Amino acid sequence: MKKIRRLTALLLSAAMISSAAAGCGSKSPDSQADRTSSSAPAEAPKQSDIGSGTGQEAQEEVVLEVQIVDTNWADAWNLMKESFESQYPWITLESVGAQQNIDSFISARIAARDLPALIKISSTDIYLNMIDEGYVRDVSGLECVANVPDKFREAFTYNGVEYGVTQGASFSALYLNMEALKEAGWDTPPSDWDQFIQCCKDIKEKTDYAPFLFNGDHATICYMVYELLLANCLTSQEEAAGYQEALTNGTFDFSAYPDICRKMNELIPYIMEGSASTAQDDAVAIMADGGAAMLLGGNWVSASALEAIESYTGVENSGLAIFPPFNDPGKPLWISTSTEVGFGLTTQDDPKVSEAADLFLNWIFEPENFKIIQNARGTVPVLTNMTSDQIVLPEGIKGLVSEVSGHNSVMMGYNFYTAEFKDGACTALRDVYSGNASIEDAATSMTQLLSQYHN
Amino acid sequence: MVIKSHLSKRKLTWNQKKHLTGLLFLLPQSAFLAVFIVYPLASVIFYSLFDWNGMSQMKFVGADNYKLLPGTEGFWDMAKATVIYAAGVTGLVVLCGFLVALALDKRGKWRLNRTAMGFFWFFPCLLSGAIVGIIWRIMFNYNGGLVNFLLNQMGIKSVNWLETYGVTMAAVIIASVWSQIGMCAIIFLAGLQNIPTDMLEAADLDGASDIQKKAMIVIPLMAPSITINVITTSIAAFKAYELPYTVSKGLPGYSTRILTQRIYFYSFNTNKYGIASAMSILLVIVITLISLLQLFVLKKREDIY
Amino acid sequence: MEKKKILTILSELCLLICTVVCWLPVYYFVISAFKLRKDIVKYPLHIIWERFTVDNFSYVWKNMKLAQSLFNTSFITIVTLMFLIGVSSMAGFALSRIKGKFFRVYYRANVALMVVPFISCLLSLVILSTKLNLYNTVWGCIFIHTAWHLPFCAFLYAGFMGSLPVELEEAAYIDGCSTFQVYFQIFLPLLAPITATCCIRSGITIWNDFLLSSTLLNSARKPTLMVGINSFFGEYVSEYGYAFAGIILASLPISILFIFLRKYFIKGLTAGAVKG
Repeated sequence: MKKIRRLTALLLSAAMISSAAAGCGSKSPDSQADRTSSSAPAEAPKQSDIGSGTGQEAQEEVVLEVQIVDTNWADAWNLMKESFESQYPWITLESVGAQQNIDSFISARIAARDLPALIKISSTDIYLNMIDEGYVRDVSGLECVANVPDKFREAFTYNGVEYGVTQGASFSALYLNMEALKEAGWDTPPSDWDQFIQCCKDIKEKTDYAPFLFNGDHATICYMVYELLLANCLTSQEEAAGYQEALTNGTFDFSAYPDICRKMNELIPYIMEGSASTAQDDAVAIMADGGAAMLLGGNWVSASALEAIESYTGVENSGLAIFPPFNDPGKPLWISTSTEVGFGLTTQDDPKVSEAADLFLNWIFEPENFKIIQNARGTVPVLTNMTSDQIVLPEGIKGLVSEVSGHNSVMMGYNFYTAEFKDGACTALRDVYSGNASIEDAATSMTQLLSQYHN
Repeated sequence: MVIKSHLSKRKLTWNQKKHLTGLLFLLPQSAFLAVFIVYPLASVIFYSLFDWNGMSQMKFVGADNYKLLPGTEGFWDMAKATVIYAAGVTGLVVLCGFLVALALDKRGKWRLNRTAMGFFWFFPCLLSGAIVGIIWRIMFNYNGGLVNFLLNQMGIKSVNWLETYGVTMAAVIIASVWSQIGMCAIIFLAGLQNIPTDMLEAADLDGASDIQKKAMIVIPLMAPSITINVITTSIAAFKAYELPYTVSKGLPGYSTRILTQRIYFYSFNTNKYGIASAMSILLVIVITLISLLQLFVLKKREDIY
Repeated sequence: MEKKKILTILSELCLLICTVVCWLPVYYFVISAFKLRKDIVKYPLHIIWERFTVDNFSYVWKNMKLAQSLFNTSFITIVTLMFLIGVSSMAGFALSRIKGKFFRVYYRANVALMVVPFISCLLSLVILSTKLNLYNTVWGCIFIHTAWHLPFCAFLYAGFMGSLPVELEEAAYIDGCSTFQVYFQIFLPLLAPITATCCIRSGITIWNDFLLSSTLLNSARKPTLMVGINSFFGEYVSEYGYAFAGIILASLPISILFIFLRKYFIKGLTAGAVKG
């Protein structure tokens, strides 16, 4: 009797240890099984009614992890997923990382050697490293790139690898609450820097609105304020190219333009308190609360920002988008533009996954499917085979989209960032915006940061 | 007698057998610890000697990563912030926790229900650090946050809680203290309830005042609880990541960017695994030193009493 | 006596005020979960019955995959606690009831491991879990949680069992019981309070874990509650109502559990933590 008890006790502890050990070793087949089994019931009926004509039902099932969904069109994602999966029943799409910090998401996946098949990709250092190490596949062989203009393709080529397909072009915009401006005595939007400052002043004095708001929590926008001031100090496209090159090489001197400091100091009193730590959606919500009169943002918030303004004022078309008028009087207007973040393919161990990823990328860039993304973000169209009835941009931004190419522009700074520079520069700039530091100091420290951390 | 007969049959002594069983009992635990704590810790030390971004070839650089640490962006601000945060949180949590425990300890007529009060004070401990951070970030918001709303109601001008040097650190500490008082108070309460009542009654008979009683009897007897609370709270403060980050995102400047945030930044935002690992080791060393020091000092104090 | 009564009432009033201040944030987020954003901003402390809404909750329920993340989080928490209690009570028994140099050294090492900060090993844990094929699996989360809570739980168990009288086991040993039997038959039944303490202390942390699950389980199909809320909040920051509704739904289960286990918890703390 005693022995039996002892035996059971021994067995129990042995079982515990072995289960722990087995757990470590055997989880991968388990999870694989889990994946396929959970996707199987959903797939089975579809497979039987569609796809018989194409003869593809013999395909093995594939789960495709994609990290491309953006919150601007997250609502449309389910529709896209459904329509793609009904067309290719053996592929299950799984959106990952949509709501996480892109950098930390992709870094964790790199550490884990488990990259999603499709990722958002741009020219920041982390992606360039990935290309160097062969984690990203060349997309130049795919059908979809044939419809992308060459200049966009060149922008997405590094060391001879075409690493992504861009979603379009983005640009900086200023969203105005025209009711607020009217209240301050401005029936037309300001058209140059002096008018802009005067307008800010009038708003501050005559109305309850805060004049100028932006979402400084977002690194691109945080830098955009500075970038726009800088752009309007430039005189020629050559100089702009020089700036971009210097930014890449780490030799740019941020202190070299005293005009920026002057303008920045003029602007600071009119920045809404709290802007430096405001997140994107919060900024839009402040517009909907009637907190501020002007919002600086990217084209990608156009739809929500204009809607927010109208919902507050209750007047149709009271929201107006213009290019930020940061140019000196009489000088041409400079804006900042960029190729949008692109979609790239990662190297996968499983050729079936790679194949499915190719299929999906081609599918996304079919005009009928791509219009969802493009219209929701209000980007400048990139595909040459898109017809005009497929491009339905938000009303308020339509005019700007057609004018983008007519203006001088600099590349948006995020194309040149290294993570350290981004972090350091935005920290310095936020201090300026919230009145804790002078712009001169920030420029000095940014110069030093850039020389230390560049691509 | 039974024991003896066992001894004669087997080669192992009874005591040896007991030890062997004991080792068997420890085996599962040590397996877990070895695989998921000791091995990762060892590999962090290993990684800290290399220049590596997770993708490229690992390049051995010796102690270079450690030498680079003081030159990393905002390192000294970070050190300052870490110390201020840990000291502030520990001090306030232990102090407030003790006061709350003292107040909650008294029972009797005319007093509120202690069980309910205990739950009220403990409740914030049930919330995740990330959640507490979210709540307080919304409350500290300059536009439309609760804190500024209350200040305005009292006729005080709004304070830019999230973008003013010093003030933001205070905001972060307030949020952390709020979420930790309960646990601390409950441990104190347990200690208070262990104090033999006859000692207090004897003091009553001697005509000791309330404050005298506290200083002479309660605090010395509470020394072990104080030790435990100071050590656990300060270790937790050095380890804290989610809460301070969600409240302030490390702004303004580098004034609230504590060491854990830098570790996360270098691991998962810049992919500088070497630097991140070196910082991790720094954190391990700091925490070990601090807890040893506290253990030493506080134990000594306990002995004096 | 009159004076004492007034003093008592005054001190209680003081306590009440402090408690109210402490609960202001809780009150704020609970009522805000039933309000629209503009009301939250404009009238943060009022309950506005005319615009009382539960839309926030239904929205969160639908969009946060709440049912799924609730299941994932509960699964992780419960399985981890089961591992944790089994393994750490055994270790605690060995460390407290068996004397020997090795056990003393092991105990010290165990205590030393308690101070290792989790975040410093996060990166190598990610790399390790990839090697063990545990990345992006619930089991990876469970094992890592178990391991990182073990030192503290074993410490609590050892402290608790160390406080039990020696006579308990001596009699059993004389009757010829083996060490296993002593553990199973004599100690296990006595462990309820300290087990409750371990469950609550570790359970809260595991339930509330954000760092590990956001790094290790970062796929949309296996969300945990905190990751869900955080990613949710990250993007819908402006809709405070959604965030607050999500927070309430996520903290409800653990709060209810705490209310039930509260008595044991304090008992266990009294026995375990203070003695240690």
